[in-house]
Amino acid sequence: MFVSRFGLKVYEIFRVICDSYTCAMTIKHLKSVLFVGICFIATIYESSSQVDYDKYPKASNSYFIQDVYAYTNGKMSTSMTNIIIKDGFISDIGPRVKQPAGAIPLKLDSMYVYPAFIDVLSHPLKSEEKKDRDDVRFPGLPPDLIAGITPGQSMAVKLQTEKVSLGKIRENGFGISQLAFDHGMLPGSTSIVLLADEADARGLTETTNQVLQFKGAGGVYPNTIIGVMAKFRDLYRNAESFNSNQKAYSQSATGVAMPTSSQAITALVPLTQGKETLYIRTKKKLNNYRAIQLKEELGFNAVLIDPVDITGIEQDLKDSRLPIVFSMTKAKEVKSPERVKDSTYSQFDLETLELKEKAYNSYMARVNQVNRAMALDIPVAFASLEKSGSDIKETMALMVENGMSEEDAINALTMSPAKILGIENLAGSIAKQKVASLMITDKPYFEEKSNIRTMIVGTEVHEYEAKSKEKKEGNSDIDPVGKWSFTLETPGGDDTGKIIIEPSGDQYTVTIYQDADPDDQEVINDVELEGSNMEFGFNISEGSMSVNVEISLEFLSENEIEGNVVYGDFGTFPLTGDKTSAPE
Amino acid sequence: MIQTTQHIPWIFSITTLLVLVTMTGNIQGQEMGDVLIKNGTVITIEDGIKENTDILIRDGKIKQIGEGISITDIKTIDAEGKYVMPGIIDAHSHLGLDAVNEATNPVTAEVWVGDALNPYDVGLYRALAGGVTTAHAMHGSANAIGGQCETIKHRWGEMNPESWRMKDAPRTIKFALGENPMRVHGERNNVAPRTRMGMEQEFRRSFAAAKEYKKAKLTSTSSKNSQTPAYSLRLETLADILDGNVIIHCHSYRADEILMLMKVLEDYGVKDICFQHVNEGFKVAPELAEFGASASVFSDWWAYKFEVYYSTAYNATILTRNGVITSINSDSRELIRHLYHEAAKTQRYGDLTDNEALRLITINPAIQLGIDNRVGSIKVGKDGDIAIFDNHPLSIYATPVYTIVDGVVRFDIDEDPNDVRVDIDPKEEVPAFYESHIHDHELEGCMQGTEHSTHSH
Repeated sequence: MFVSRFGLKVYEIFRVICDSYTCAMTIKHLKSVLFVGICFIATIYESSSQVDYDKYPKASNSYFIQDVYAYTNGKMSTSMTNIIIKDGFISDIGPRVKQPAGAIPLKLDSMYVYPAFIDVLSHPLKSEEKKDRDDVRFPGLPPDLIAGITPGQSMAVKLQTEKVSLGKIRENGFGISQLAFDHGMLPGSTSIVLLADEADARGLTETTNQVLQFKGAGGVYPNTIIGVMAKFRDLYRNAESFNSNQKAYSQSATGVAMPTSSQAITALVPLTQGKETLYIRTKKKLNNYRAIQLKEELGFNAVLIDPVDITGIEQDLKDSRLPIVFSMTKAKEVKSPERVKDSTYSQFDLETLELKEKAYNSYMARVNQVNRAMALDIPVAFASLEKSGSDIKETMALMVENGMSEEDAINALTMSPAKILGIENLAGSIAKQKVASLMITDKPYFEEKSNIRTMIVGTEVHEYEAKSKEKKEGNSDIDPVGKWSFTLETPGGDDTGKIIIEPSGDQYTVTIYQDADPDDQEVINDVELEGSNMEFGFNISEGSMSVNVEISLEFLSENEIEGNVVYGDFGTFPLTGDKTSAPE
Repeated sequence: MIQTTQHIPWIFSITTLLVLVTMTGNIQGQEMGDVLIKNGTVITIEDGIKENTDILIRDGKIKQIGEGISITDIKTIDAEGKYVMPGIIDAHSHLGLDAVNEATNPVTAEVWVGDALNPYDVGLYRALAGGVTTAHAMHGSANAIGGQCETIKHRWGEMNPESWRMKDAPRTIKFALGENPMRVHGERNNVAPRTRMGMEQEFRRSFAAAKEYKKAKLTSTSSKNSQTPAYSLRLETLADILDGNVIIHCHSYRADEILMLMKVLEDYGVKDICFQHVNEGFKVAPELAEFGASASVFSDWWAYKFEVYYSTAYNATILTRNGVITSINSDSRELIRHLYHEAAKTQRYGDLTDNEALRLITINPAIQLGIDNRVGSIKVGKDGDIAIFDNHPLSIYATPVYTIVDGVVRFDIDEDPNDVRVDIDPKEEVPAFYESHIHDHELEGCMQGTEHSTHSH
């Protein structure tokens, strides 16, 4: 125990050192980092006699919940009931169930118990560290790691070797989440876990899945959607043929060369055998069709993630028989333009008004799309993705406001995702023998002033205070205001420039320019900070060309940003930067 | 008969939207229509001009051509005083594609622009408004062997890219010679090909590898103790070219390189090739004819890079007179809107006959795409793809008034709304027309996705 704990600690500290060097790290630096790391290890050895002994086993692993309303059989009970939890499972439920000896009573009188929400896909880790592109001699043949092809990377292993915090997702009502990497087209295998703090308390199922993203590798193969599609087909077919070669080899090895393959190809074999499901992040209407195309061609199990907009293609998606998992993040509201009665509009004004009405209508069609999918019996659920699901209540409330039943909304967060993830026997409802994954609120969830007061995830119980005031959105720790200098990596070399962020009411005004041409500034108004992320865009014209530039930034700390710049159809390029000063 | 989403009002109630969904239930299938065109001057292309003639299209196919056809229960278009010709075919377009170049490797035979189809590109509607019913959506010219292309029909309003594909059209692939691949790979990435000599080696190396791959696959099936070679979608595709299953469309300008590629193809027994642009085609027209290669050219567009200076507006005529199947293409979202003008220029410069000029944008590109059994002329049994003009299509005063694809009217000049978008992003800022100063006609071409400021073809 002592040794392994100590070992972990050394590893963690070493990792922290490495992380702090990430920005500047190249192969050249690795040696010196290792040297510093070794020195640190020596120091730690000296000072590590103080070991944390606060982890005594709990007095009991049984809990008793008395006189609560429970959400069972698809609705909230009208009379109160009791629930017993033992060793992380619901061992009994019913109004006459009595407190067993040794069970810890939880003070939740008259509260509302729901099955905790299930998050179909989340990315709890910071984006992967930057890969050094300078090493790529042939852009057409980059190493898999740089090409974003790492299906062999395992989230289950990551969770055992690194401290990953999941509390943020849990506090929004989630008990279970499928955790995934988010770097590149095939980022790695997922792990479906209970959102507990202790790594040992997260175990739920051995099932793993794969993720596919239509993300180009940025200047190296595969760079575009057509490259990603072709590369996926190639890898998949290779996994199939590797598998059959290996079978043949195991039957009769005489005179046959041992089949060889890459780590990536080996990792895709379970997908080709139907043992895993491919969660395809689509992000664009047409990418849903591309996902369906691959699935029909190759025949694997798939789920569509984050389709953004399914308006007008609902029936095609229904015909594909794929479940659809929507993003929990609330879409930016588009307001309906006002038509002033009896006023005369110029042709220009009229056209502008019509365009704005269309934008509003299209926004409303998106608000209602989950409802339309449900009406077509498409299995639907939600995913927190890069965020922690903090929008979920608002997102769902908006849908309920526009005609979705509260029961359908709860189902889309509980039983429906359980079925999509294949864990419906374990979770998704409150019933005997199911995992204790419960959300307890002081008022019915959809009531405006309801608060989540307790989350039970397996053997862990987490309690929360009622929120006194409306919490301001976003991570208040991060102040984006200031002057940032950035470096943009493009295939044509690095580009540097400045981003100036100034407050403007609740929002921000962003000014961006390149160092090469400081006079050519783009100013973007009304930019919002969402959590630690900021997104904005502008259009540039060069001669007769016009390109949309979309920038997404993540504030890693007070003085560090990273992000991506999508340069029209030309590709996506990574950006990093540091704060240089407060705005002048 | 017009069943395009542009006419569907936006309705928020779920039930109404559901009704709409069921109404357009035929989304995945390719919609086939019925239409009767009365009393037009029918330019058949392969069977002369027929005055005062009716065309009956049933289930998307031309069922009958003749006088006095009388059917009352279907849509009827009065074409009296109008000119009815086969839908125009563009053998070189990049419209409706989310990606054009996978410019990271000199050989990317495995990629396929059919994966990137974007039927919501309004440029496609504008092409329809220019009478174009079929286009060859091509990979760009960044690579020696670029990606596979897709022949599409302009079924504007269909949301599913699948229903834009022209089913059963032969597979095609983009090759490219000269400056573009040399610049992208040689100059920028400092890898081969750096020179025109290197270009040749890209093709020879690729074909040689594909030949080996085919052999290895054959051995693995015939001998018990050998394993199948590691799967390669790239080599599979190249092997398909060697087997004659894919038509090559090669971006080319200089005569020496055109001869070089024909020699390489001869060495590997590959026959089906259409040279694209081929501005110096006039210098090697007899050689092209002898090889059986075809040519798809611009009428009078050149001088946009060094290798494209030696050009002539007589190119199409010289090629035609030498027996080379020739077409005129757009490679541009602007030119595609008036290919009939482009065809007419060959009369000004080369004195081609009306029919020869119109063949350049109808049956000839159909032959080059291997779809002449279905489109390219007005003939019983062919697809109901028709363009109707108010004047003779080679007249400078010609305006397309109807464009019909598979018997479905996809463009009607009397029902031509200001905003034809079928997919609306609520966050997209669209300026009203009168404010528009964005010149997007240069936002395409075969080098898109490879660089930012040079306009290239």
